[in-house]
Amino acid sequence: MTLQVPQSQNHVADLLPAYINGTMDYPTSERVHAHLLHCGACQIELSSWEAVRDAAQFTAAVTPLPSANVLNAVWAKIDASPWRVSIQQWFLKHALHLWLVFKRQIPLIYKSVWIGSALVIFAGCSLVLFSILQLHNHPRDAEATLALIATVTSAAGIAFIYGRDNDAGLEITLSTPTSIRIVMFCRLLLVLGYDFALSAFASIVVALAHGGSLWEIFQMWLGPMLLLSSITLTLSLLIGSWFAVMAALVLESLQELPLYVERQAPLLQFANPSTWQTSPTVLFLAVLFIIFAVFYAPRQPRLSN
Amino acid sequence: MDKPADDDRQLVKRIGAGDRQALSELYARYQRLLFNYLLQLTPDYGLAEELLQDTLVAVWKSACSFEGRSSVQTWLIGVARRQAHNTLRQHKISLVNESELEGLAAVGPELEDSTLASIARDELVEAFKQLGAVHREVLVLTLVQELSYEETAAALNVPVGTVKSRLSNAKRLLRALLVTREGAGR
Repeated sequence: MTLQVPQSQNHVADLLPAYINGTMDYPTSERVHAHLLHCGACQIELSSWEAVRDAAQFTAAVTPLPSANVLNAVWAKIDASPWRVSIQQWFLKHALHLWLVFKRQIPLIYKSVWIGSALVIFAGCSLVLFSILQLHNHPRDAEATLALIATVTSAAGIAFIYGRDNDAGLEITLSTPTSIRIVMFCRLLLVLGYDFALSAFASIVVALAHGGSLWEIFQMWLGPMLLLSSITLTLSLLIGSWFAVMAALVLESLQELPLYVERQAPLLQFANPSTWQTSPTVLFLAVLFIIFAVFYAPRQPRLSN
Repeated sequence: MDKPADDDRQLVKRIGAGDRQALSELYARYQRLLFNYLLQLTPDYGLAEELLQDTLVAVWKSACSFEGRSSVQTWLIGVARRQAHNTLRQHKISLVNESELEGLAAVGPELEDSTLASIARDELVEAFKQLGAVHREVLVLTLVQELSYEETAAALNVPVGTVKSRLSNAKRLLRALLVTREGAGR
């Protein structure tokens, strides 16, 4: 049988464990004590709690101690645990892992990206050299053509580095402990690095051919290449690779046309041609797009689906 | 049981600085308390000892981040509990006995009209051992280790109200177990 606690009654049943273990503050303890003097129900509760305490304390008292070699086992675990590995070892281990991930992306990217980029840049470089040396075009126009080719080539390659359409083994990649963001970032670095090397080589050849400034040629394509490639990567993740390539072509055309048709199409101009070069703004925008693409876009279903 | 709190904190500080002797001293002080607590969570002596080792390794690793907001005893219990939960989850062992809790759901607050003091201690001890881990641990923390409600709540990472209700439920379950045993004995 039990006695239901009346709602209005100020019983102290829920305070009794704290009362008997002595952790209650003095005023509350005094209140409980005063209540117990005249409340039979709470006195029964108190004696019950005391009995439970005795049983629990007896159980604890007869609990065996742990064996004597616990501390030795603890030292062995501490000495063997990976957290003791020095920062240098930790860095080397992760650097090696990243390098392996990076290296193993090379065969996973379409061969046509490597071959196509090299052929287009080679053809572009030949065309520019021909226009300078044989047609005696203005070197500035020829360099702009090289910048256009380098930028569009890189952007087109980047559009095909990620996604189910471009990676038959994507599901396997997704099931590995390595983050897909790291995988995608490695591929981005690979293709961008490759296109950078090709474009740099072409720029050196062109600069040597007519004695121009290598840095000026670099400035014409480096920033635009990064920005357009980052935009293409984002669009390829959100919509699709071919859409991204078309968008890159349109965007690049809008920037380059005014160089050839001066003041003929100012309304179509996305930015002043002088700003469509390597500038802090262009680089900042490129970094923003890359951050978005790497950290956010892989989680999103394609809009085209 | 009473130890100077400042002394305990000094020990933890020394552990944080990599002093192995300090960990040995802390272990000597709290080995019985911690082991008894862990044995409430698992009856397996070997597993409890493994959990005790893991607790000490975790203490060694995290001592430098101990800020002294709670007592060292409460902190140790919290570390031990976290280790136990992680390991028991891997072993697919639940600390909560669902059937025990279901039996309590429909019952409101109540006082008993007979005291458990009239029950023989051995019977109470046997009933205590049959309680689920979640109820045994709250009884041990408050009645054996003599933590306050606030300290118990901090160690268990639950509100103070939950500590009170678990205590109340634990005692009602003890009575129910004793009634069942008495009925079975007839």
